[in-house]
Amino acid sequence: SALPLNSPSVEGDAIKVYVRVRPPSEGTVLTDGDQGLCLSVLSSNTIRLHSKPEPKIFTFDYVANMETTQESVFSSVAKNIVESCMNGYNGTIFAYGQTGSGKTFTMMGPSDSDNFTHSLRGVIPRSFEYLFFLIEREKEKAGGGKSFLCKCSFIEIYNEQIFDLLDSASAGLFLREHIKKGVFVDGAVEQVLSSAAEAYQVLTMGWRNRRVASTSMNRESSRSHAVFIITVESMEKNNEIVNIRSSLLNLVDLAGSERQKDTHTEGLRLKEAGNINRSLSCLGQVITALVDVGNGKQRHVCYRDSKLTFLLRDSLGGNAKTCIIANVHPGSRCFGETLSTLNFAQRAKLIKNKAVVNEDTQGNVS
Amino acid sequence: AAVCEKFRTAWTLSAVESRKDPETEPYRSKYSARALLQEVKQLLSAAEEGGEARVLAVRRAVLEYELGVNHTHTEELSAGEEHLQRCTQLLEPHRLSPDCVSLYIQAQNNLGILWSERDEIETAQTYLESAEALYNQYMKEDGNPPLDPSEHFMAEEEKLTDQERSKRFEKAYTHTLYYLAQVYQHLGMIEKSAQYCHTTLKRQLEYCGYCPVDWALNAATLSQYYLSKQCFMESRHCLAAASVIFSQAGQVPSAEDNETEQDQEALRQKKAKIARYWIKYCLNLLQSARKLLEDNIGELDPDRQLELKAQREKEEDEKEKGRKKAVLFGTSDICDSVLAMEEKVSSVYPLDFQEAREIFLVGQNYVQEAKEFFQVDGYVTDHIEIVQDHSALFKVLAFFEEDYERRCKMHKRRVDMLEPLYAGLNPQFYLLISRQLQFELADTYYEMMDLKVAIGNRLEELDSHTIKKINSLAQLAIKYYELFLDSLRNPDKVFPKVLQEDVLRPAMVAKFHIARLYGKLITSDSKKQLENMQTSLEYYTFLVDYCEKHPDAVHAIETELELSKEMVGLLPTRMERLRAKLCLFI
Repeated sequence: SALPLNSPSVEGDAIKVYVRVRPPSEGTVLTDGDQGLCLSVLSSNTIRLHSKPEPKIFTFDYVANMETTQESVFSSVAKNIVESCMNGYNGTIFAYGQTGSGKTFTMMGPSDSDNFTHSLRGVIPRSFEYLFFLIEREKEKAGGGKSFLCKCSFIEIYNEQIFDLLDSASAGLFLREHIKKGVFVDGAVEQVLSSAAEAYQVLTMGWRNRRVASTSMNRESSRSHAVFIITVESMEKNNEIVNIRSSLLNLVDLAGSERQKDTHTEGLRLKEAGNINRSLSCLGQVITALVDVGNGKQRHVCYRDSKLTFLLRDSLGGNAKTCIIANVHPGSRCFGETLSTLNFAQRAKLIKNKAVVNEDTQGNVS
Repeated sequence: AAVCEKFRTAWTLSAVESRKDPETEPYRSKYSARALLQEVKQLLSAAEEGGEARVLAVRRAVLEYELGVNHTHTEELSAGEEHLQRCTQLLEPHRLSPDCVSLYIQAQNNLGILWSERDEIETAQTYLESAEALYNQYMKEDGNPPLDPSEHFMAEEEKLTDQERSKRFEKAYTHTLYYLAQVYQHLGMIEKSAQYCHTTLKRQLEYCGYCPVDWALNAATLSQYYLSKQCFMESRHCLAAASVIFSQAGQVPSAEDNETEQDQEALRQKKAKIARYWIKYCLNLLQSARKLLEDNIGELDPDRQLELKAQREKEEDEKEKGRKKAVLFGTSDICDSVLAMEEKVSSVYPLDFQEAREIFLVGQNYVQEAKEFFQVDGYVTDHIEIVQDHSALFKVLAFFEEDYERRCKMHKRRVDMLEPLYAGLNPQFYLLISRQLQFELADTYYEMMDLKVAIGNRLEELDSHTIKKINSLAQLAIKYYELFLDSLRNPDKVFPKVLQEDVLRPAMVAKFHIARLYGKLITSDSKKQLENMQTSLEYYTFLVDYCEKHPDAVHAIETELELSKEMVGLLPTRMERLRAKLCLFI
């Protein structure tokens, strides 16, 4: 049977996909060798899933095995994105995966420590450090001719509603667009940052306000997407000319993938009729999918059904550097979810914005 | 009695209380409901000796059903499946009797959902299709309003009326159809899926099980499916029904009278969305008519026009018949309003300017309506998309216009609406729209220049005013094509060696048009003319070279490539001749 092999990634703005395999939690004793595991890392960009009857091999931009350190994940995934952010590009880093697959560990670090000097701290704190390191270096190089302004906001998307994690009293917020500034969360608190330490503080404060839930299946699972948004503005004075550059860095911790019945990531599941009062209100999503398949140009289909994809629209096949870290748990009990995570990651590599340049002048050659 | 009481508490817990559960424990009520159901089950098996065996079996099936649903809702699929399977096994012998049929169908619905969550869509399909078949068989053989599953634990005096029973039964079946619509969509059976969506909508309307605003949006979305199939009559019907149902929803103040500003805003947004669907309808109808009517250089073909008009007269009689074949929405009172709504715009191809203009005007009205909500401040993307549609409406209307001067003015209107939007847009966030606008503007100027050339050709001699006009339009077209090409450059300003699939054709067309535009610039200065020819040659050469290096690009621009090759052959000779002439004068 055909294996779903990917061609090596093309240089450019294509979304980069990294897979990280977490070690099984302590206490799960592995009986001889690989038997308790559902996958094995073959090389730094291929992974084999032990599916029956034939194993499946997946290829990604990078595959991190169980021994990979936080520092090494940061250097291979995030470093580059923070750098291009300094050069005026927008950048986004996502963590995707089932609850318990290590998203929060990858993005934040060990859950019980607010201490970001911890050697196990994750991508977000390390990005702060690196960003401010780069800013300081730039400032020194320009010798006072260049100044920076960093602001951040921290929001949560839960049940298609937006909440401000920096202002726990705030009600639902709205997404709006500005012709110069792009998509923004109307009314979200924007905090000015002058150092990595300040950024940690904001992050810690907001993190405590997140919505978490427990079920008999999962001890604790995050039900919301958390998006930490940093705006970097630089101003450079060359004689009389002022050069202003601005860019966005989005750091996203997605809700557990097993709970995302409402987004497009879900594969084949049927949408349920919902509660009694408003049954079938999501019929529209089914119809939308139908229209989507057609190939004519002049149809109106509203893709903006998800707040998250709208907020990060530029990151998904737009004008930005984006990478997705797909986290998987190697245990054989997680086979199903791991397969669907890898399938999602595979699809993510193909994401392209649907909008294309309208061009129908074929007839006008005369 | 204790059994009934417990069952009812469990039911309330899972249906009503669970919605109020704290976010930290989303399933608290479901878990307590589950415990109660287990207790009821034990009480029942204790009562095994007494009572009628069949009543007991059915009651047990109801419990298994509730337990199955409970487990699937709390993410425990395997346990849920076991319960649901036991439920259908218990009911199997009696599934066609009025006290079991509804429960059996609902159990099968839930098995369908369950299997789809395991990505086994074919298995889901078998359950749902058999539920559909059972409904049809029951309605044919019996047809009386069957018992609702909840009644098995009700005292005699609480039992439902026939009307309520039938309502609930029909609703369960509507859900079957709704799930089937999704199954077919996942299986790629698009047409069948659309048909089931349509039927689901129709049934919602008949049995009043819908939220009017959502219904309207769904029907409007379905219209776009029909558009993609060029079924304008069906598309219009969906839209007209959507508008009618929506306006009725607006009139009736909602039960909870305290509508917040947010709700009002959401309502206005949905209205504007429906207007956007209408715009696409008008645009599509006009564009399809254009395709039918144009000759090989994109102009209106008068012979074809006459032919189609004659054909239309012949078909006039058959139109009525076609009307009846389509699935119609609504009971008689809604039907009249829908018909009235439909009459406001045609669903047949316009064949001349007058007919095209009528559709254009309807479309333009919806543009205004949509723009009222989707203002540029706050809704940049939507707003620009609507303006792009408006521009497209003008473009296709211009096709039907025979007077070149007036046609040119229509294109000028397009420029006037697009240019200021483009100027304000930040490409860092709106790269794709920005490119679309660059291309559209370039194209419009290009078209205007062509028209001015055509007008000029009718004159005995080109006056200086016309020459100036032609040159300035050509320069503007070049400017926007160049902006578009520049947007493809990387941060170091280097043009990509390999063009991505999605910009390949536009980029090539831009290069090709620039080449032609340099060829069209009018100048009396021969040296300048030589320079223009040189630039033109460079752009043509780019095309030819690129396609030589990347043969897979050829398919995207066959016609343009052929002409470019020709020009690359011709231009040097022409330039040589011009140079020779220049030398003579020196």
